[in-house]
Amino acid sequence: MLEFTLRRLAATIPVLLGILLIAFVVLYLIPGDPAQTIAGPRADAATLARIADEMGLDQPVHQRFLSYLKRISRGDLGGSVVSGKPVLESVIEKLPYTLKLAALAMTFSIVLGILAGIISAITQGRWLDRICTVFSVTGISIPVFLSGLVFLYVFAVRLKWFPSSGFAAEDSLLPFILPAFTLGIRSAAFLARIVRSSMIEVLNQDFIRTARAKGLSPARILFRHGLVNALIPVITVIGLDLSSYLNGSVIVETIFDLPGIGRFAMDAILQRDYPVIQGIVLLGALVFIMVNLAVDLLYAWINPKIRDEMLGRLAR
Amino acid sequence: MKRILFSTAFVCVMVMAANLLLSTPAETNPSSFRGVFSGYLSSEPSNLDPARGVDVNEASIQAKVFDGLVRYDEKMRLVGNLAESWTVSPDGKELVFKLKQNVFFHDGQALTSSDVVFSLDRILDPTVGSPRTWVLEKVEGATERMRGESDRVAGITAVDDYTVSIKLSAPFAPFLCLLSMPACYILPSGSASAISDRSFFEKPFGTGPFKITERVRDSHIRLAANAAYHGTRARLARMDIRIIPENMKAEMEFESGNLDMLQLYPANYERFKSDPDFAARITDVPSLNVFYIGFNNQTAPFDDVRVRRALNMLVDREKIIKAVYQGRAVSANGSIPPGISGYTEGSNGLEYNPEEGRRLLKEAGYSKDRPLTFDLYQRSSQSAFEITRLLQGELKKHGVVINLKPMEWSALKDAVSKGEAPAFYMSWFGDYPDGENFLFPVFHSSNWGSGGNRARFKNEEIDRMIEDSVKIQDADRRSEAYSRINRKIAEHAPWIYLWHASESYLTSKKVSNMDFSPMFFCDNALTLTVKE
Amino acid sequence: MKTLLRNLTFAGWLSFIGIVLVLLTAVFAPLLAANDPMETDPLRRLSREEGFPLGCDQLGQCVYSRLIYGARLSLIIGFAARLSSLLIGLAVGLAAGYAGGWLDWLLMRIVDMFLAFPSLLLAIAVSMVMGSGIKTVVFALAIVGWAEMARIIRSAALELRSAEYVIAARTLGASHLRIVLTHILPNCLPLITVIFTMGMATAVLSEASLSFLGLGVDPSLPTWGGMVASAKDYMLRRPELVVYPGLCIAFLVIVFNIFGDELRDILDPSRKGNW
Repeated sequence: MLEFTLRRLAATIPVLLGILLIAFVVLYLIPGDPAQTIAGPRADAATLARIADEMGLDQPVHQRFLSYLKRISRGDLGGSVVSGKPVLESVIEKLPYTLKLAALAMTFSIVLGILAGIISAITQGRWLDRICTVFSVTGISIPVFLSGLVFLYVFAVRLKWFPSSGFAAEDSLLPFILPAFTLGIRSAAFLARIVRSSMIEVLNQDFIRTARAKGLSPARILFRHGLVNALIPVITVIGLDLSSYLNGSVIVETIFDLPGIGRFAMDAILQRDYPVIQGIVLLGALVFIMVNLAVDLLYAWINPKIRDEMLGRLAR
Repeated sequence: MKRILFSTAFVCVMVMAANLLLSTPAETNPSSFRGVFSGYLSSEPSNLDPARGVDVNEASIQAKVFDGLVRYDEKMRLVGNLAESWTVSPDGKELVFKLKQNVFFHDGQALTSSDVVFSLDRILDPTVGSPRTWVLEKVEGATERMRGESDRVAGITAVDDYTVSIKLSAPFAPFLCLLSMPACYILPSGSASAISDRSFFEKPFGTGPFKITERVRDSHIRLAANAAYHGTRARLARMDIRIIPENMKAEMEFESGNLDMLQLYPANYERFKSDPDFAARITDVPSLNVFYIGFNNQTAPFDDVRVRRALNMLVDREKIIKAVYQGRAVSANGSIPPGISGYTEGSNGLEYNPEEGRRLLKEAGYSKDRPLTFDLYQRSSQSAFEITRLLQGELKKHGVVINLKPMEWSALKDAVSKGEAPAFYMSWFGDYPDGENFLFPVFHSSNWGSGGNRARFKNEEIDRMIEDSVKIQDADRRSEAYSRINRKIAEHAPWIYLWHASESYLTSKKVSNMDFSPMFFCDNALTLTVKE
Repeated sequence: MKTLLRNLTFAGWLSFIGIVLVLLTAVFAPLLAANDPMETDPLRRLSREEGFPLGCDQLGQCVYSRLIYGARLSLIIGFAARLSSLLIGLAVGLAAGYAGGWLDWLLMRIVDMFLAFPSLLLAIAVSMVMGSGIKTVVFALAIVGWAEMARIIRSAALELRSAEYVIAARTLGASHLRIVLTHILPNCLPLITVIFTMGMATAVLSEASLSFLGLGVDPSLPTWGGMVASAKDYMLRRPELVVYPGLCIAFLVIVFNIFGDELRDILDPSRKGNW
């Protein structure tokens, strides 16, 4: 396990470096003077000169990259072009909203997805299965912005079951429910299909048939033997899904008016606030890598066979 | 006997003491008004520095937190605000202001003339980089200050703690109007260091009727009524101003009861107007504005006056006004809106006349094989698209090809200021109700770029006419002069004059006495009442 | 190919017909549309006149015609993006899977890098560099989609590499390039078809999302996502202006998803839902 962990960690480092490199290079690809991009269009000549100096634009490339890395590792992600506030500070301020949203969405998706998947697997081929399948395909296919708008209109404005925005209710979960549901439905649909096929595979295996032959009740079989094994791929999917939450949160936070990271990114893009965009992209990538690392480690710990396979892959 | 007297006296003293202790002084009884107004702005007012702010949303917050020497009341009359009274010298070159006494900033510091001098001087300070230097350009010593040759403006002096004298280098009749602008709001000189490193403006404070108690960028700004305000106190406990860029979102919030006010646009106006429940609470405000397509007059193809005039004649304003605004706008035949000194009635020779327009274009060298093609820069909002797409379609019928270039508001402002946009769809909202505001900042050649002359229009004769007109003290004659200039500029067609639009607002049942003067954005919400 | 079609279930056939329908709509758009989809007219604003089957939007444009032409743009953009992703993914995946060793390791780290970027933000970063417009949207979608493809193709190439006929060809002296092109690639084709089809769904959705956020193609061009974006201010008054294009997007995405699913099931039933 230790060897696996170390190898896996080692594989992460080049990826991180690569991402930082891309972020570094993109700055120079953006049309216009890179110092202007960082300082913002409204900066006066003095600020511009200072920033150009800080960036060391006269130094050779590798030295610039190194000082850039040093800066980032210190946590200095630059300051917003619009507000002047340090990017890291703003991100930390807005993180709770997005985290709450993501956590709630994940809860919805896990509960709904697993439930639907199990029902589908048990009633395989019958009408309940078909309905669940239809729902899951629809759930994946409807664009988040459309479902968000429709839910907002129906449940918040017309029926008034939920508040229509995230304002004035910072401590309660109520304003997060509708947007989390919108986000969660997609992953739930995805999860349902995976749970379904995974469960079907497991249910068809020999040891299940043996258990049935022994006369154990279906429920017991389900929970004792089937479920645990079937849920393993779920962990991977949850890790992958995180990426889709980050994307979805941009749209959902805009529609439901939650001041989280997604909305922050959107505003930054519209205002050409490059330091903020860069900061969010880097942090997002970092989170994604960390989560995937955790998922892989968890996987390997649960199932030694997979660990060996992965180890083999890493060694090549 | 003595005991009764003594006990009565004791009781009296006790009662009096109790009264004194329990009664709150007249100015500090915030619980007397408990209403909360929930409003919103369509974009984050990123810059709350009066000297450097340039848009309506920023001015809206500044007007509640700060005061100027003078202001416009609900009836658009110029009245004193921080200035109790003032005198103008007979030659019109010196104004002396007597400040109100017992005025305090929100941090408790008293207002004195040094604060006034500090704030006004800032506008001309080259390190501040204010785009509104033209407001005080006529002050003696302004040029030297702006060039960094002196470290204070010679013409603005504090005669004593409560008297300020402003000397102009030449008589300038509308000067008092300029002093009502947000740029001239008074800042606390005691916070000078926080002001110079800009940290002050995260949560600025002034002497105004409201204080900022909370501010989360891109989310909301909370304003509490200033119980110690020097004038009539606001009749609210609090204003919660949210930042809601999406019209649809604001509409939903209003319908859910979370907002007390909604700005109506062509998209939703009819829906509310046709509902008797809402219709009575709609107010149409003929705003001080002009909508236009600006050209960069210095570069091709718009350096040719025939092209500019032709385009004016190819736009059927009435058709679009009828379709989109349903009559809630007036065709513009000049830059000055109706009701303001200088408004000119009648034709300017640029009305919709497609044959003449096409002829002019042909004369300028454009034809079916070589159609006039240009980029039109605009804000990326849906309401902007509504107009530009229609204009694009209409002009296409006359053989003109327009490519739309949407961009975010601040990016648009920058592109236009730098002269990168050959044509752009914008509006100019008046800072004060004097025709000069629709002439000098937008057409005088010294104001190219962010100062206001986005069209880079330059005409020496018109420059002189403008400069001369502001020296006229008699209001009627000045108005005539403005009118002549307005017409003259139209001959050069630096813009496609579109229209002056009314703005419409819908208020909730809780709201009464909301002041909707044409300078609504500068309203300091003193009359606004909300049912508690 | 024929075996594929023969083994389709009922759902599979339905979705295939759905795709063909959309394809035909796109191809025959000029014949099917009632009016010029980009012609505006202030006087027709929000009207329901004769000759305009679904009425007009707030600019006087024919909603029905814009929906029809929208099929064209959605398919073209999705296809172009997918094709670009495919070309890059193929090159990288085949090279990594076949060559193995350090090249494999290096290329896979690069793939991991691109997979780690939140896709929407990556697309947005591209539009910052390249400005807006069709080319940018296609490029952005291509960049986002190639990594997934590369990874899958690499697994396939890895397996196929040790197939007997490959070893035989090697022994006979065939060059690496030849082996890849004549043996490995053709065997990947079914796989490629599946991931291409499933990716179309994502591409269409992503383009719609980008247009909704205002980062897509020129808003005067009829795209379904753009139609939702421009009509959302009118949603409370004329909800159909938002719902029609939204349903079209959903329909296209659903049929691509179902069809892709079916293809995958036929191709490799043991892999159900596991990649």
